[in-house]
Amino acid sequence: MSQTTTVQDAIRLLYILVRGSDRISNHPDGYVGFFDGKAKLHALDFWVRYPDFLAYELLNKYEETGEDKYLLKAENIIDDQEPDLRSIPMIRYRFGAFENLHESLSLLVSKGLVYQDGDKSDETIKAYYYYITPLSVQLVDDVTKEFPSLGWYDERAKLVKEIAGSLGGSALKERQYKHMSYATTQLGTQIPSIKNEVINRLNALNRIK
Amino acid sequence: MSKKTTTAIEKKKVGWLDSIAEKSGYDKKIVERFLKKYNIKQAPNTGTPKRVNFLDVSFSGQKKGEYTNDFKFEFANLKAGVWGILSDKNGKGKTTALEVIKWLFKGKASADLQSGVKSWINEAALKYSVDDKKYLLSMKQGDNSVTGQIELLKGETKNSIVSEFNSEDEMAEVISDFWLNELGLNQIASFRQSSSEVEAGKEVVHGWPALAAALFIGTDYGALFGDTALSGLPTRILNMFLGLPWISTHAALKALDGQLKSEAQVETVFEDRDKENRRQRLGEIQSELKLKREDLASKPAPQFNSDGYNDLQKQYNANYASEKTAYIELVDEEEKAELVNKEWILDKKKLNGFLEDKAANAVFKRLNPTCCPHCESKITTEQLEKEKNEHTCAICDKKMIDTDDSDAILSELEESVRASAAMCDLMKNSVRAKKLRHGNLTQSIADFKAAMDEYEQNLQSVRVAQTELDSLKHEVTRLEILEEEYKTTRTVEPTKPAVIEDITEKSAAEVIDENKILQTAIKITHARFKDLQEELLQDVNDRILDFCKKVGLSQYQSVALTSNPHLKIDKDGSPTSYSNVSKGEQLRLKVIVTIALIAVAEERGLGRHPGFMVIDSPAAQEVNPDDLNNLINGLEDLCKVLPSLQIIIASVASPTLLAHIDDKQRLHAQGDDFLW
Repeated sequence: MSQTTTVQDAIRLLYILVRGSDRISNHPDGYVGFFDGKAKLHALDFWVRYPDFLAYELLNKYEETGEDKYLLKAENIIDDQEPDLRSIPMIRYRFGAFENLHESLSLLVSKGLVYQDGDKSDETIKAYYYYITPLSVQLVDDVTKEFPSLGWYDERAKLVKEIAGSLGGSALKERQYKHMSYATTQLGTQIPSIKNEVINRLNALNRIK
Repeated sequence: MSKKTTTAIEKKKVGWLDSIAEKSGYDKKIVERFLKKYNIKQAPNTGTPKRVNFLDVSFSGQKKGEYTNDFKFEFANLKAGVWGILSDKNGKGKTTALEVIKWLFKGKASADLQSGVKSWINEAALKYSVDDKKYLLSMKQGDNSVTGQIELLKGETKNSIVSEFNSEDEMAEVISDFWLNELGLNQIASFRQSSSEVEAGKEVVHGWPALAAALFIGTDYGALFGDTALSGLPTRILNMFLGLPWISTHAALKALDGQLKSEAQVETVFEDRDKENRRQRLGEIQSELKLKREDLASKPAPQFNSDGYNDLQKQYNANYASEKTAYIELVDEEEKAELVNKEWILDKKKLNGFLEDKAANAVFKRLNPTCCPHCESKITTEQLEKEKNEHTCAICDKKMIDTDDSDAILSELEESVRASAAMCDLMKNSVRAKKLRHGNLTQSIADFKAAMDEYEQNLQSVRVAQTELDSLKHEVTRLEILEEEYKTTRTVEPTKPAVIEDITEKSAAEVIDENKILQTAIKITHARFKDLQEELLQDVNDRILDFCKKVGLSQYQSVALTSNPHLKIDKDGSPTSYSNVSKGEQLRLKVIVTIALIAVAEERGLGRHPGFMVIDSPAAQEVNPDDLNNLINGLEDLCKVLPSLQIIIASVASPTLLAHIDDKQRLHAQGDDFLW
């Protein structure tokens, strides 16, 4: 079902990990960023892959804070037809939207861009976390300039990080799960677009021209 | 026979009907129709006098109230002559006895017979003779019934029943028929004036009771003959008792004359009122007409341009059709635009995917692997060198192929995007244009609709205004017609009596002056008896004057009974009349005038007076004993001259009366005794 290549997924994940991680310093191994948990990675990736769900969340944020920037951003997502152009569908599994990221993550690990670790117990990893290397940060800055087509991922990754705030993976998943379209999607089926719902919300706010 | 009488007889030789026809100038048939129409019958007979005597009077019953005894009154074996019903005091039943006699003779009880006393009577009978025939009228009275009969008494053979009755009304009818028939009398018509100017008077027919009243001289002396002076009754009675011919015919004609004149008078009143009403109404109509005309003049004729409306209608319809088409086209175009957009999205996604993939490849390819992604073993420098030289992967050792057709693919993808983008723009523009067109058409339709609605409203206003104007014009026309109608003088059609008219030979074009026929008939009829009347009256007057001297009225130098009838008296050298003398004189005059009439008629073999009279209370008035004596003497003398004459006097007993009326010819309640 994949509409993207491994390298596309990898670059996307790289942006999410780099822009979505928390800055750390003085790590003995020289890592400069820490990304806590695969669940958080999946959650942020969901918002990147479903711009309409992100727009819905932006409208929630607007209603919470009253800040116009969130409203404007949601408008732009619709105006730029991102739900049609940028959506990369995901499958609904028991614990939410899921796609196996091993391959893409392996690429990042093998290239030395991300260091993957986890909490082990009974010889299985119970929780993953990722360290960001200085190379990946520099790489992301450089390739964003070099390849304009990747600029969207840079901006998007920063936005989802902002929206996520300090919430962990479970909390984010729970929030995403609250949306009925998500929650009522049958297990094993593709999570549908909520573009029309977002448009209706924007209409209600008299924002659609 | 006088010259006048001879002339009258000669006049009679030309038929009455023919005379009227000749004098009126109308055909005999028309005159006949006129007379039939108003039921005028010829009565040329003079009448043969019949002599009536009471033979027996009786009544019985039971008193109620203060006295409750049974009672019986009987006055039997009467014949011609002077008889008396006398009592020493008043209130001894004398008036009741007289009233019962009147009731039995007239057929109707008068108001003077108190209903209470009347109800006491269970049986009553009157035996009487008419010339040589004897009759018995017997009556029985129950609580609510009156029955009886008139029998012809045949002596030894069985009596025959002449007629029977089973109610008071039937009794009156039976007795009336009997006497009118026996005495050859006609009911007399006269005319009674109405008290209201808007109501015509009416013909009044006096039946037997009115005529019979002339035979009873009571204590009311208002009329010289009978009970009432109204409606010309005394005149009719006079002429009837004189035995004059044509009296009932003349009476009927005069009554008709009175009625028609009264009707004409009333019609004049109505006509005058009608004229006044019409004049007032005309004024009202003219005022209203003036206002309506002014109102009409002030209103402009409403205008409506139906052409403009029709044009709008056409345009509306055209736009409506166009809008429907435009809408379909718009929907089609939007669907197409959606498809084009989807294609563009697809193209764009491909391009984005390609670019991202290419960029990602470039990024990752420039980075050497640092470890095995699976086991995280470090990649050695030698492995890296081998990859560089042999183009095999340092991790999996597979051949690495460089493809360099990415530019061509990119170019193709970009071209597709450009093309689909262009198409999208085209479609967007097309949709925009079609939306605009549809919007414009929708607006046009709305505009035309609004304009048409406005027209409709205007049209409605015009219609309303036109309706008002038409209504106003109609009203003006109506008022003009009314004005014309009320300006025209109208004649009130005279009313006709309810008589079925024989129109078999009536000419449609002939206008008959009925009044001319009527007046002619009256004159002709009067002429038939006028001379005889004058002659008879002269005789009567001579006789009256003669009797006056005998009854203490010697102060009368002359008396003249006229035909209408007034009694003019020359008393002590001054002219006076019956109504102006004292009650005592009136009583004597009533008696002697009646006696004079009977005497003259008897001598001439004329008249319809039955030859008896009943006098109530002759001593009640201020008649001195000598005058009363002379009056009774006069009556006795008359009885000698007229052997069949019967006079019954009811009175308080006075020496004069007792001296004159033999005890065999009187009932006398002496002292406190009652007569019954």
